[in-house]
Amino acid sequence: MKEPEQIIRDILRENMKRVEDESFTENVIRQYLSKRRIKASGHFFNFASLIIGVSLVLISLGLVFIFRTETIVIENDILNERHGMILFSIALLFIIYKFLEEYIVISKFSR
Amino acid sequence: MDHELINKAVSGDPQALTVLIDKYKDLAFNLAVSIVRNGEDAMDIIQDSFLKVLENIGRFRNESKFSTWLYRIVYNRSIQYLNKKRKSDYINIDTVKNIPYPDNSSEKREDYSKLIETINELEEREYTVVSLFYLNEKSIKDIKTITGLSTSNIKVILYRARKKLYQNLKSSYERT
Repeated sequence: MKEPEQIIRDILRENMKRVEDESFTENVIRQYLSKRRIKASGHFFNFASLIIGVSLVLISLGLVFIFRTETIVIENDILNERHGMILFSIALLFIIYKFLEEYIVISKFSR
Repeated sequence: MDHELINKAVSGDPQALTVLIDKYKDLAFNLAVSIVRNGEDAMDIIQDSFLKVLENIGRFRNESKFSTWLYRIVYNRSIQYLNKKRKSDYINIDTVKNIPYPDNSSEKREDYSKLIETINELEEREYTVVSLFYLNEKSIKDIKTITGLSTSNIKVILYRARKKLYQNLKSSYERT
């Protein structure tokens, strides 16, 4: 006759709920390795869009300075400092948006 | 053996990761199911727990067993889940109807099914402690680390659960 403890152990073992999804291990490893790669590769920081943003800011700032010193007329419309500032604001908003976007992606993957 | 596997897993060796996950996934799943009483949610919990463990495996210092560390994370996540979703979707006793029994005689079969019923009727905490003690072969100290319960509390829970199961076994033997 088996020991009561052994009977309980055997029954628990036989009654054990098992992972039926055969791809479970593979899925976990795939997710883990892809997260690891993202971390190792500097979170896929998208430098291209940031470089574009910085260039736009610099160009618009340059235009502001040109409009301050020289009068530029396109089809009878005089471009002034205000037009340059509008361009500058758009470029600045773009770069802020891109920074926020990158920040969200990084914090999502580093969780 | 776990120590070697962990060292390989830290370097991202897929074979070591596979062995490590395969070794503990069923026991971890069983622990999560015993708490949340829902297979799908238990799957999410153990997947999440394994990812957490693997992400932090480099920080594992062998101060406790790897399995204890894993079960602690599974246990905590299951409790967190329960706190969020205060709903119990109990496993139907019918799901264990077709399990193999140690003895093929019809009388014994009846005896064991009664015992299974008693096991399934254990309170959630009792089942978790019994399962960790007998199935996962954890010491009281390890169960304390996993569940955060006090040693005396664990002993009382085990005593009560054993009493219920032994009574059932005793009456089974008296019947046969």
